[in-house]
Amino acid sequence: MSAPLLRVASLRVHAGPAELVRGVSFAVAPGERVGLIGESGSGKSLTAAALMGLLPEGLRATGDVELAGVRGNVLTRGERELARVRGRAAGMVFQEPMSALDPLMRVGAQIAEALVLHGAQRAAARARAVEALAEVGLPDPAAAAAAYPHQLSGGQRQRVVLAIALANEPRLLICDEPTTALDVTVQAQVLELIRTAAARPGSGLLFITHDLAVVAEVCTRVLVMHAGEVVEEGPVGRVLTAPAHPYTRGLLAASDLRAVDERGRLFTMATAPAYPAGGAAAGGAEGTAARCGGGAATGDAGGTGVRGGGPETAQEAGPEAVHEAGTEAAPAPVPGAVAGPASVPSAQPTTEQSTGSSSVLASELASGTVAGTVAGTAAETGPAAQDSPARTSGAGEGTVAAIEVRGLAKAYRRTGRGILSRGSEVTALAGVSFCVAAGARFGIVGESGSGKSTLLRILAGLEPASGGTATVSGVDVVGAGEPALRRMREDVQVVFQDPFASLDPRMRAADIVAEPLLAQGLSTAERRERAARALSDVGLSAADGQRYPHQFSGGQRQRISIARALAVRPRILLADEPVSALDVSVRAQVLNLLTDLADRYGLTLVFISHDLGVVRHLCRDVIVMQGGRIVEAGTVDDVYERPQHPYTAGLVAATPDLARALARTR
Amino acid sequence: MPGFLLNRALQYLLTAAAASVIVFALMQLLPGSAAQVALGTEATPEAVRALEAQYGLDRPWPVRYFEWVGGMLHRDFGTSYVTGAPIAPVIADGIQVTLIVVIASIAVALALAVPLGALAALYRSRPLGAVIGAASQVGIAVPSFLAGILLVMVFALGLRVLPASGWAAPIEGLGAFASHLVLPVTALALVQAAILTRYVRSAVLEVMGRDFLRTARAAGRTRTGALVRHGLRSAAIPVVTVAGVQLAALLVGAVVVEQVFVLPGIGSELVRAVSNRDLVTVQGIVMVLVLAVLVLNFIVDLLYPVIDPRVRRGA
Repeated sequence: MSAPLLRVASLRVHAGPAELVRGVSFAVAPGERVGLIGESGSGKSLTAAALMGLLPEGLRATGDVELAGVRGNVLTRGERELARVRGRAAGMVFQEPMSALDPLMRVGAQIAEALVLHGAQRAAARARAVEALAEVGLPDPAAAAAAYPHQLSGGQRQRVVLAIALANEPRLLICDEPTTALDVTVQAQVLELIRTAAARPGSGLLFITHDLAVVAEVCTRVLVMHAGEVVEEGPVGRVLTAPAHPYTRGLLAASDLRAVDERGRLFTMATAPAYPAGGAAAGGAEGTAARCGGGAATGDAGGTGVRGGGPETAQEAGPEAVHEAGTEAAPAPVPGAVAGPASVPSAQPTTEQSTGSSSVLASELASGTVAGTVAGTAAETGPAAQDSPARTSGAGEGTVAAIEVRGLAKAYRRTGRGILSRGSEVTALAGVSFCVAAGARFGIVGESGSGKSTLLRILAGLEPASGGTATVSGVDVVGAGEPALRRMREDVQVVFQDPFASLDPRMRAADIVAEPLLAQGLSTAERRERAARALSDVGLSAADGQRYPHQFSGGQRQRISIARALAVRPRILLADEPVSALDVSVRAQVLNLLTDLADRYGLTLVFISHDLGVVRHLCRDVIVMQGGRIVEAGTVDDVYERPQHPYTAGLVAATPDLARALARTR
Repeated sequence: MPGFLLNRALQYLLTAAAASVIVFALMQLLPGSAAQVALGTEATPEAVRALEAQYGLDRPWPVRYFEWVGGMLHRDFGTSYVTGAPIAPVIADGIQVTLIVVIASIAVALALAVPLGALAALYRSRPLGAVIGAASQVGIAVPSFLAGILLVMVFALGLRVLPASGWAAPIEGLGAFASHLVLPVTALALVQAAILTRYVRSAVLEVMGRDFLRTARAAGRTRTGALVRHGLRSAAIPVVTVAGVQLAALLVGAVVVEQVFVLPGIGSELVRAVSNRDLVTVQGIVMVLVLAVLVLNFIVDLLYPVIDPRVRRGA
């Protein structure tokens, strides 16, 4: 075996007295693709940054780092010496393609700069830059070289960053979450490019990610980092199927969205011991729920005057409309849950479609009488229904569906620069129609720019639509006045993506949760009591209520967001990528929490995500959006197993899948 | 790009038109007509009316407004009722001197502020950063007229290396021109440099955390090299905005400094016209100052697309 490209021995990163990386040792040999996985704060990114002297100011690295082509310990070199090494001995790609390039400089010039820094002639560098852009697969390399970063998409920018990293043909490529911010189809392309780059003879790859499926697709060997230490190391196939360390096992369990425990909940770090080893590889052993929309349409007795069922609208539903007859509402009300203490309901009847018996249940429910009963129960015991009897207006009208969208359209007028120019129109949504029954869990998937977030903002009454209708909880939000919207918002609440930006940093958690109650005119005592209830519902203590957002972790903040949404006792919860900013272990907890709460309160859940796996776990029905249109709709199993639209098929195929990747490595 | 220019130019023309209405209206609101002022308090009403008729002040205000604006478009700012001389040449001479002082001042201020601000950011946790910070704090606190007086005391009266006051046009010899320029420009520039240093420092600090500097370093730049090559241009965007605003402050500051150094600038003319109650001249000078601010800001606006490709239209 030849000498390693990179050898790291007891690397430590210090921040003052604190030690963030605590004695990490590993090596990357030529031809090896080494993955470094771990959650945020595990020290994996700091490890990568320390290798090249790119630590943020105030941090200091000690230990021994040897890099092929550099004499001695890299960590003892000065900035000037290190600069000469960076880019030539090792190239680096970072996470954020949107901000990784100088916005004021042409892309070609930035690649050429990397070449000139290592001794190339200016003219030759410019010509070589165009070639480099061709090598990373940009369609018109000459035009791309003359473009500014803002003229390129995220995926194209990441290709440019890769071109810069590879410009001087370093033998080692270090990638830090290079595809985390990208759409799945783009991610697949960039990963392929990285694999190709790593396959150059004599070269190696150090690949940092939190995504186990991605690491399985890219790497041969993997190191698991936790709290600044490497807790496990080995070939990808072994570590990800037969993990030796409990932390690895926990990660594996929490990131497996196909495996559930006996309660139908995702495995978390805590419940990981029950997770079957190699569960991901076994994968796909799920029962398929029967589609029951059509069945429900025949049972016209069910929904009259009751908000839970959805038979009437099913008949009117257009071809694109997905309709569901409230099967998800069925297990919702645990008797006494409304008034009782906030305990997580334990032995529930089959709530998940993934459990084997659910198809039976679903077909039972599909017969009108059962559906009607269930819906009736939901309406009686659901807290929102109790609180707002006045809103059960127009019995027998089309108010049975929680959300009904018809031909919804949204066009933005791009503001003109000057007083003479008229802005151009951009279509964000066109002819979107679907229907969500009360109590259903409904997923909306799509890549960036698909219009999914715009759709959610319109449903929440946060943004006006330009056409069509969207009836949410009996209010057509298109053209509704502020009083009607205010009434609707007592029924409809939103959980946003970014748990860091969506909470006022100067308010205490309890006040944040109580704030939406002000609009309802509740007394201070009532507000306080409801906020405390909501906080305990999401697993936070009364003492937590007195703390400020920055004192919470990302997952806890998202719990506060959920508590804020639940405090008003909504019947519909709109969630816009609520878990995409969270680590996998936290993600599993928050998803389980959402499932628990949706069950307990009979919530209608509309869940937006770019992550097909999350939607598959949580939702029964899904619409797939592309370019502002619905390209496919159906149950998650139908859509994922038998996609009809090529876009959906591409999306499914591009989504990294641990089981599939592991099967390939074997 | 031409569309962007046209739009901008049109916006400034509209602003100028609106400003002219306001300036004109303010002068009308002052008590006593120009004729009354010219004749003094002893004048009989008949004499005032006669003079008003002679100057055309008895006509309705829209007529007089358009006559004033129309005249300005032909570089005719009217005639002073006090001196009886045409106003335009006075303004033309004055604005030349003032613009030279102002533009030289902002150039000097930026030449000091950019390196000092960048150093203050780079050395923010070391003594040099603290020294620059303290110096800029002092600079902001010292008004420019006081700085002017101190400079005169040291360099003109004490060291006798520079003239204490007066002005020499460039055609009278560049040496004389420059030596008369140094002290007023320094007095104005020091304060501006102190203010701008703080903005440059915070702009550079903000830029230093950007990801693309890390990309440049990963490709082989040193920390300082990445900042100079990639960071400063980004940092220039907010600094240019502030510098544009400061230009207006400089024009006003010039009025005071011209008094200190006895410069024949537009500020001196303005002070003289005000003390003579020469309303027509005041009106003309104020309008020219407004136009000067607008033109300078227009030029600053043109800099944005040069610096930042993202604001270039159609790019």
